[in-house]
Amino acid sequence: MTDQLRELLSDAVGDVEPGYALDHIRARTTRSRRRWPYAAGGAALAIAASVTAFAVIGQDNTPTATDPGSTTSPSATTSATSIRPTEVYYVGDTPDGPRLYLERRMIQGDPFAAALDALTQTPLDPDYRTYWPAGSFAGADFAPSDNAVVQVSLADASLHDRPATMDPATAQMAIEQVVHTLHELVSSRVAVQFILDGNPIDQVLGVPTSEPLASGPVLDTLAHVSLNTPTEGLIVDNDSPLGVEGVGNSFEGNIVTRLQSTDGRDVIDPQPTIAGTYEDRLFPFNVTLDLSDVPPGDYVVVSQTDDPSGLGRFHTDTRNITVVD
Amino acid sequence: MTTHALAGAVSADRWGADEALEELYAAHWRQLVRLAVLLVRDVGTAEEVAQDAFVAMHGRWGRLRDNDLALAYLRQAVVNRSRSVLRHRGVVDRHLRASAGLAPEAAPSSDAHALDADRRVAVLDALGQLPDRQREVLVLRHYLELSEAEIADALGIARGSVKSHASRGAAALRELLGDVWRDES
Repeated sequence: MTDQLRELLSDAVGDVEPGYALDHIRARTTRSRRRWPYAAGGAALAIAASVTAFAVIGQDNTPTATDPGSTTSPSATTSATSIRPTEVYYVGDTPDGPRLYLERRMIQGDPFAAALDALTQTPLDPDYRTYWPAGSFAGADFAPSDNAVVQVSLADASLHDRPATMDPATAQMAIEQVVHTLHELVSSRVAVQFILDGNPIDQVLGVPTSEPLASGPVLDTLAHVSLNTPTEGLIVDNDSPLGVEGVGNSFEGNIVTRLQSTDGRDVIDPQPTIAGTYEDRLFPFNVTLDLSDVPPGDYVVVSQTDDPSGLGRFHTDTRNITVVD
Repeated sequence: MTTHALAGAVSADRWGADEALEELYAAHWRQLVRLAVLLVRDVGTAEEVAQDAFVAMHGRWGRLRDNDLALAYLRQAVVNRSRSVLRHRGVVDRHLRASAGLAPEAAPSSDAHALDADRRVAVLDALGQLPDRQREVLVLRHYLELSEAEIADALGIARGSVKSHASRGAAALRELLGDVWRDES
């Protein structure tokens, strides 16, 4: 029986030939090789590979289409029904006003339509929000003739003007949500053109959009700390250490991570880590929390930037988790 | 490994991490992706999980400094990340299927040429229906052929639990696979 089980399991994955990924992995482990303010997930790059292979020629600040890191297995790109992750940008609050936080979402089918659709859905993290109502988008196009511009089609003209209840900074963040989410999807800082009925639309939420848009400065747009893992609501076994990973930019690179009870007491001493500072980008950081003395229950993982001014202007990201035995 | 001799020098650590990454990637990338496929099913996700494991291993190299320890760490990372993905996916998948109105997966074809593919699908389907621990133990035991002690270490559970998960898992899999299992014997 044991031999048969071994054969069945080996056979079940015997035809799986994964794509070449060493360059992706190296890019994520070597800061100097990173081109983007965050390390893109492998599967997001896999989607990008299928798109950028023909689309980024002539775009001077994008990765080359022949980057061997873009190689991927056919199985990752040809299966229309496979579910894959991408990073979607939602809005949260910081002492500097609304900023974007990234959240990994699973998408399926046309990656552009699915990522835009995810923008209209409620974020998993209750601290985040989105400004795009359901049905905002009619789709997106990314084709060589467009000179590496992603065209985002709005469903109708209802989002042309800024609602009276929305301030200009918030409207700008809503636009940045779209631009950054699409950048993550194609792993490239392509320009984004909003269109309505096939033509560029002069403004969206009151923000001028006649021309293709670039993203704003990273540190003025993204939260200075954003967690990739754990995901919101994760259930973790206290037999295993909890890996906390994110991106950040902080004074002297200091980012402190703590595990708190739901009433705000520290359950594990704050763990310092070094991300980076100065440059206009976010740096990866990670820390491992030993849960072996943590009783089962609900907790909050809190990662926070440093503030040398003493004014308490911390950027913070949190995740609710449940620890089980 | 000669990297022990280089302990203490930061630059040597980094050199060691990069070298180890290349060596371990060359030797184990395919098997670790396949391991992840057995756990999460979807190949794209499995590659993502395995990549994350290699990145994590590289970051931890200063504490590992040994290819065998690093491989054990990679396997553990693949299992843990796969479990996180599955828990997360449970929610997302139901949502996606509900919102997209997706039909359930097509029934296996009876075409003779498709029998191999059907069997693979059936095995992956059946694995997917097992409780996490049973699936993990079965895959580590019978695909990676780890010992009970190694599995206990990798999963952070007692050896006795490994034994019971393995026997319950095998029985459940046999039940789920029905004809496929018998066809093979």
